[in-house]
Amino acid sequence: MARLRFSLVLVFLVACHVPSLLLAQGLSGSVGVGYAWQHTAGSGDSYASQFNLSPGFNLDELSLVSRAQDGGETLSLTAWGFGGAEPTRRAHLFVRPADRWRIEVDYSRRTSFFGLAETDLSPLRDSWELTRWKGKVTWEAGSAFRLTLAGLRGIRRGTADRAIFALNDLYPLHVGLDETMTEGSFRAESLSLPVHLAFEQSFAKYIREDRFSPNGTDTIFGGNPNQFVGAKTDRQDERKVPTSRLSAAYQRDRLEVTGGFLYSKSDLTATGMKSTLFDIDGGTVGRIEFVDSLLGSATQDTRNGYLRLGLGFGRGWTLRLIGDLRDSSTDGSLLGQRLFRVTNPAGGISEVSEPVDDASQFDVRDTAGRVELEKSFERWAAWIGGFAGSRDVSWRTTQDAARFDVNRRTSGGLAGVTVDLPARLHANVEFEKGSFTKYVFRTDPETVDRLTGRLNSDLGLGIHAGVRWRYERAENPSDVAGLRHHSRAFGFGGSWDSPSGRSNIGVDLDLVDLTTDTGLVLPTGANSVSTYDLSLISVSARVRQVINPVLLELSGTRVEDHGNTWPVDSWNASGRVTVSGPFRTDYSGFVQYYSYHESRGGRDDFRVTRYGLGIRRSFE
Amino acid sequence: MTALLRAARSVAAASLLGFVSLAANLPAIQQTEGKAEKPTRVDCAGCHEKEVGAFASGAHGRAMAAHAPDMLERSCVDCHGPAEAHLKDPGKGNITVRPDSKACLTCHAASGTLPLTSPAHTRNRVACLDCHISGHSRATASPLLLAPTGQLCARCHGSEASSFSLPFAHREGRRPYECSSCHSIHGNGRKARLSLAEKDGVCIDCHTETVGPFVYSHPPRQVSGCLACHLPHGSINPRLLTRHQIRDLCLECHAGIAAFHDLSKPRYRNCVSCHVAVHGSNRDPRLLDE
Repeated sequence: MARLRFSLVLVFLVACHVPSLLLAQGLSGSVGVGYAWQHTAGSGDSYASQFNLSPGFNLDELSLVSRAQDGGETLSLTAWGFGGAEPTRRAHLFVRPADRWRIEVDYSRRTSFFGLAETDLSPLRDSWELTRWKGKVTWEAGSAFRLTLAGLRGIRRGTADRAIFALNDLYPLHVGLDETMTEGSFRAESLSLPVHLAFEQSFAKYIREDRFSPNGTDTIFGGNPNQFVGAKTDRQDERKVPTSRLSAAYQRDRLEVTGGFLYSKSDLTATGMKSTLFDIDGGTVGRIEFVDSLLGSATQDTRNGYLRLGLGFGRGWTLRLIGDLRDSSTDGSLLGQRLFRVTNPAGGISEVSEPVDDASQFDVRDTAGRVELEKSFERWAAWIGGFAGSRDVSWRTTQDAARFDVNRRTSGGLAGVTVDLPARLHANVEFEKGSFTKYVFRTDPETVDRLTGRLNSDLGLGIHAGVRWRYERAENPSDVAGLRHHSRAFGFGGSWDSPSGRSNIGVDLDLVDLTTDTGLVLPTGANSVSTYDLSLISVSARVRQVINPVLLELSGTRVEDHGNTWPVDSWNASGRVTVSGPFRTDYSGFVQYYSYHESRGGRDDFRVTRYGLGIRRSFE
Repeated sequence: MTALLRAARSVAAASLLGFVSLAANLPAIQQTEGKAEKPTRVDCAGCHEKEVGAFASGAHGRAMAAHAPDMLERSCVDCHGPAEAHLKDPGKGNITVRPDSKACLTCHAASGTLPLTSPAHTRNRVACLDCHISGHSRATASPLLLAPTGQLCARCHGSEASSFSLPFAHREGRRPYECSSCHSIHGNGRKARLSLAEKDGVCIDCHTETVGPFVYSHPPRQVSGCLACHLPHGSINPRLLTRHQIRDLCLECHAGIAAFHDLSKPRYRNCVSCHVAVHGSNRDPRLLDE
């Protein structure tokens, strides 16, 4: 309670005194702070996996701007999320020390948690923080060109509870996550040449130094007398990725050409040892230690490019040609040894060493081309086109494994029309039909038959409405992929803004029906063939009403999945009342409600109510 | 392939040199071009004093003035078209009241978003001024936007916007990620580079640990990218997966698993319990170790 009182006093002092201090410095902007209480019923881990909000103090908003005499911004600072109640905190600083210079610094720290009871049948949990610093300095040489130097530093630290497979069983492993990413880049771009050119060179380095320890000695599912008693590692994985990119764009009334090319050569070096220690039958029989000391390396060459050409022939005719190329080649190797050491209760040691000398290779080359012809009239346009592509994949998992080669060819066509109808209606319909000869993975039948439509209307008097629908079908017979996929989606969105700006009402509805017959026979499934079945309804509504000096805001989203696979329903709703007071100060109170319910489970269900107070002050 | 690489490097180096050389001579070229006899903003201010003043003092006008003072002077006709006839006979019929995208692209010819080569937005009549302010009014969000990107994009991409309300979604607490956090709308900068470098490469901006090269890649990650298994905006399934149970997803490709994987036993129901390095491994071809 003392901590709460202290926080509330702190909130009040910040809100009251910071603006005065800032005004004295010639800054304008606003500052808003708040405090939230939270009541959680059900699984707190499940709630944290979805929202990760906490009770406590929060910086809702900070915005500071300093302007030069000509009115231009010379400094601005925005920030939110500091205090601990929200999982993300961010700050952005912009400085313009002189007309041609821009400096930007961006900071963010994101807290992530994941741990569900129902889907993860072993104790898999992630809890980590990702801190990122980004900086950018831009210099414009008048209207001629612009140079940019940028840097990025990302650090991920935290813990992950995993399982380790040993002695034909699963043991709990605790992993200390330690990852660092650093990138520097240089960019030069022309601003006024007939051809807009941009060249970028970047260099990125990524280091992972995760550390392990046993997270308990017994097996996760029980029934094994052997115990997990030790784990250690000094492993380090390091990647270096230099990347060059060149892009160009040329535009005239009837001709546009854009293109880009990227080359990257990534190098991986994985070093270090890992040791795990087990007591056989609780140590009565002896002790086993697995030690691996390995050196892994991999090199990946990537060459990607694209070209887009648009040609206007006059009288509304346009021809588009699009080409993409992606070519990547990876070679990997692993050297070292795996050691198996047995110590009997009397202290006798026997070792078996297995040398490791392995290699892998992975090549993928994608090409895609597309041609479209469009005819535009004043109130409508129609287009027709075709596309073709290839995917050539070749890989060998290990030195001794058979090479896997797939050459997939895709082709198809499309046609569409867009029309401006009376009563400010705008309609758009497109149909695409495609086929492919083989599949690389059953998860990627990219080419399907697809019909999409959209109808939007600006009815006047502040009323906007739109409907959208999509139908997808992929009937792949067993000799192609053995996968049948059907999806229907319908959406409606409507809103009304009062002419005075005091009222706003909006509603969105989304319906998605999706069925995928995977063609698999699962021993645990009720169906003879595994089917993923989703029937999703999502309804969102929002209301905003000003009754001076009170602002009322309500919003809510209801999600229901009636599909056979894993039916769930959830609520996400909030309400806020804001009262404007003297000295440009607003006082607010809010309530938020979150729920999640699984019809077949229940261990991850939760109901959470949050409520709180806030104060915001603006100053100029 | 080495020859191709060498050629590409030569083209890149030559382009950079050419660009620097042309850019160095550009101010002289532009001064010559800038002497065209066009009406200036002073001519327009005779009738449109309020609009001209608001533009000059606004962010767009100030940026023009900082870029090249002459640019601001010519700004009215550069955006609203030739004004000679309008000056003689004021009326809406002989002036472009709402400039189209081509006027903007005269200066903002950024690679990627041009009307002829970017059909989806063009066909649906989405122009620069549908998202950006012209400069006569105050921007609600940066850069010179009519509203925050999430609201702007949701006007047409409503299904994608509502995906962020699903139980598992890319959001920060209550806030959905900004669309521009991942989508490089104009094809510039780091996000565009990541997108070109990798299939679904923008994901690795934050999820750096999932990117290779690995000694042993998980092929779908390498070939099809993140979206082979994940839904990017939001999902009813944990970890934004396309299936609720991880095993259902894995088994779609790995139908011929070894017989000892008895799926009726809990220890075999979650594939990633053992195959922890699901995005790729540097030490085990079966992805049992990272």
